[in-house]
Amino acid sequence: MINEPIRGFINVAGIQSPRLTAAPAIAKIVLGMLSNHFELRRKEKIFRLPKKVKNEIWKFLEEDEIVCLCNMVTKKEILEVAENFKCFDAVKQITWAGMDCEKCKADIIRLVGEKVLKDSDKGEIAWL
Amino acid sequence: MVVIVGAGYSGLICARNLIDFGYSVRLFDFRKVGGELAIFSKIPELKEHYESFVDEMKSVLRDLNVEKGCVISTNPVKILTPKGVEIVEDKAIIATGAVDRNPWVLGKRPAGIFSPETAIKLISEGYKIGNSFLIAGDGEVLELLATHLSKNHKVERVKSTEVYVHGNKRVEKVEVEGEEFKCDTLILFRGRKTFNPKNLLGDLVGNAVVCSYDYSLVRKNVREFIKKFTASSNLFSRV
Repeated sequence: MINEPIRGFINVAGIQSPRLTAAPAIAKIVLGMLSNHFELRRKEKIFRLPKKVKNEIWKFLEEDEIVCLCNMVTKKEILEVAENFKCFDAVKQITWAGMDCEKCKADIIRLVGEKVLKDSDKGEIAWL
Repeated sequence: MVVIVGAGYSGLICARNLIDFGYSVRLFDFRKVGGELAIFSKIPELKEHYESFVDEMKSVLRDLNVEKGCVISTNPVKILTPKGVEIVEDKAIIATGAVDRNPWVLGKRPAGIFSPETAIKLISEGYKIGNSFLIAGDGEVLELLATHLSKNHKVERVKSTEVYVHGNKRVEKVEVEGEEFKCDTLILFRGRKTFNPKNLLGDLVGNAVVCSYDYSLVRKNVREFIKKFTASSNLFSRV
């Protein structure tokens, strides 16, 4: 456990408050803290996956397949995020794939690898 | 009428036996037929070890129709198929298999930490997942993995899973019960658990119950299940 201020680390945990209610206000305070150090500007385009209606996922099953069963994430969704962000963590954070039982972890690594590596670099997947 | 969820080893064997006994069976898998054994077979040392089970699967696969579909609930059975959502009132047999427990560690959690399942899947596709390995845990499958990897890499084995990882972006060294191992990849086996993310209710069979890499136990469970299932009063409700 670390009990000293660390540059670049903002702690919003353990506040013992009504969490969800206080969240937007806390976010504003954090924004204020960050604006003391950086010039902040709003992102022009926020990446969003098309909204998914859970039970309509069958419409995509002909050409697509479910990779993460825990969170009902399909292969094309993972490939789209991998294309835009080229990293494993982004897939996890945006699609929630691989967040639970991790059975699909190998598949996600492989799919991200498809977007990041050239054919001859199969060895580089270890460092994704 | 019976719906079997999962066309891996257990699902296939159950389907064949129940059909032969006179049941009307529908077998679903949300991905490829063959389950994890089909993936293990791509690695020579594992192929040899699991050969008899794969042969069993191959022998029942003829004339067996596996439908592509994802079963998302039971009572009634709701299946997502490429053609639409199907709802049937059948009994469900859950043969969805097992999954490795998450390889959590103490210390830092840099890249290079894998469960055996993830490691096997990547290696079977021809990927190199590291240069020097520490394989921690107990189990025959870990020995087979170690044998395979030591052909081209430095591999060390420990039985204990009480590991402490050091490393910034990638594993640099692992401390196990006072001993230090320099490696860039840790394969950590924390056991297996039932893979049933949709919490399907029904008769669980096979590795969904046994949760192991030892398929002789899975085979035993499947045979006992079939015996019990076909002997019970289900006999009179079969269509």
